[in-house]
Amino acid sequence: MTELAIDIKGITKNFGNVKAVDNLTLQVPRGSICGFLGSNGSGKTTTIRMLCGLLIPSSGGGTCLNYNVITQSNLIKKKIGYASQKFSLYSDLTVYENLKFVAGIYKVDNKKEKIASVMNELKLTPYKDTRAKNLSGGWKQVLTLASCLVHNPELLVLDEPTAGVDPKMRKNFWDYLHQLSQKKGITILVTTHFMDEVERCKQLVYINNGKLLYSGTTAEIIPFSKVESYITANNENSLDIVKTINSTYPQVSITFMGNDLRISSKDATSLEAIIKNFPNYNFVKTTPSFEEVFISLMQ
Amino acid sequence: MVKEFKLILRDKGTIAILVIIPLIQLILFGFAIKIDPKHLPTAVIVYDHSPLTRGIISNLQASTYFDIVDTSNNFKEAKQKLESGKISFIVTIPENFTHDFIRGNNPQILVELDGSDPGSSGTAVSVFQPILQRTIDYFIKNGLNVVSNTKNVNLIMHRNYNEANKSELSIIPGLIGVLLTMTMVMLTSSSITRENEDGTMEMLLSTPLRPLEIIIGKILPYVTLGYLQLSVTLIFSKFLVNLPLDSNIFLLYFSSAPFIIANLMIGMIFSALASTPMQAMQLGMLYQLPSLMISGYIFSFFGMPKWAQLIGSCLPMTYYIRISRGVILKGNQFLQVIPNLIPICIISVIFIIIASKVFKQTLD
Repeated sequence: MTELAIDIKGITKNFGNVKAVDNLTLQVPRGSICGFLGSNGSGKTTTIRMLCGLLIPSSGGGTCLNYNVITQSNLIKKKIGYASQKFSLYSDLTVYENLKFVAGIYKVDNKKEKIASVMNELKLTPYKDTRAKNLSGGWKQVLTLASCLVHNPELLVLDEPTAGVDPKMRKNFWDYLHQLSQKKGITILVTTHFMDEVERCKQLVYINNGKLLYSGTTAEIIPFSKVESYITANNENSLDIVKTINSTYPQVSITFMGNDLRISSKDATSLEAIIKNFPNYNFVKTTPSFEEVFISLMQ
Repeated sequence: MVKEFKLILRDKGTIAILVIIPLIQLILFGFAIKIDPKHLPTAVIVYDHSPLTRGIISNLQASTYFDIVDTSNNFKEAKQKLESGKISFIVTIPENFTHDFIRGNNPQILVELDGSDPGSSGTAVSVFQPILQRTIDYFIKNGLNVVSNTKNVNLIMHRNYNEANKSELSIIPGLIGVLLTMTMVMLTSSSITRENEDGTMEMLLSTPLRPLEIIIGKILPYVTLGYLQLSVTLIFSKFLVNLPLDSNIFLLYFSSAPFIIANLMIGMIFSALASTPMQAMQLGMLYQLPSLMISGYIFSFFGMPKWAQLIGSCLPMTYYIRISRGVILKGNQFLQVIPNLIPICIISVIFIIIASKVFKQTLD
């Protein structure tokens, strides 16, 4: 049986009358990279904060790294590295000073060597004496990741770590996450809105309005969603077909993709029937994209 | 403009403070503060017991300006009370006072007052002579047989601890406390709310640091800053107004520690209540106002109504002013400082407990 790094059951969080997380069950195997997905305001950050002991669940519970998320949050905190959505290190401290501060909090042995090693691995050494506020957005995210790693965590919880980061840097960032997962066995729970990053995850958890829609492997989400997709060439009348389909068939998603037009739905029979209404277009069946899968799961 | 009004109206915390500050000022200025303070604690040392001297004492008491709280006739004890700020005046009526008065020998009455507390002494000093004159007139009118035409009593006023009545000497020791209160409260409260705004507090809370560790890590650098400010104020005061620093300044430094900590803790409590640095600063003002007005810094503490004295007794500033005036102007030593140091320590501990309770350990 796979050992679980995160195993929470029926967790709920209310803010007054608002139910931010609703009876959510979440299981993440140790050593995996799990993409935690959902639209804005779906409850991802709230769930993450409950896992990290930053929020107390209204009901439900479970374990994180085999510690109770409600009663043993201080033990959990020792073994996780958490990066919030917003850059949350000290802008007026240098890269090295920030890492030294974090290493001090976790009482890391051989602080100097450990910081040097993390900076070296993440190519931060040239910026060692640069104040955090003078780093670019991408390097700030790298510094955040470095600060999460100085104490050798067993679990990394990263909340949109690559927001505002250019593709090359995102690629390097993700390559490094895979290294951490494969070589060091670190479990990574990461939220993202980038579909290419979703593909890089082994596991996916998808939530909407605080409720779980999917939890499983990345490979299984497309068959699970039962979404069918068709693609056709874009032409000068495509705008009309998009308008017609959007207004007449709300269960169907139609999107411009460069020179192509993609149409998808969970209801394969209806989709085939709809396509037949537009004989001037040559629709060809194709593999659904993750975006189509997520939009359709939300409906 | 419309946008500005909308933003102002949505900042409920600021609006509440805007209402509360004038309300507190009205209460303080309207009811608590007395420019004409009464019921000032007074000791009388009477070496001549006669109807005339009893009349003088009872008229002092009846004037409501003086509360005769010590009639033990022990000058040494009374002087100690004056030094520790427990009383504002010592009135001494010498031996043979009545005899000398009847014979026209211009007897003296000695009034020793606490010159370090100008708020207390001012008006009371000016009413002393008329009270005395009224009493003498009454006794003469009612048959006191005066054999001489000279019917004078020499009122000798001895302004202790500030003989030259220099206002700067009585103001600066208190100002040290005012400055420490202002800066310490504001520094911690705005520093923590800024951490909340910048998101760094979320990072700190996600680490295994315990609230007390965060609090201690936060306040220790500010304690150092507080001492730096104290030193700078003392040095400037020495060179600019020649503040006498030949007393036990180490004792002032020692006593400043719990005072600084108490103010830092108040800042910490405000930061937990405020959601922005601006709100934290406004709450700081809310605290500074009574610290300035009802601590005895500007206006007489004993001249205020009991309820205001009770509130003042909860403020560390009330005790710190007595300590700084006591050490700098009166040359107080450790044993004299203790009665004011203990309340500051107790208040500090209470503030530490409250701060660690209200300090948000989670983002809830």
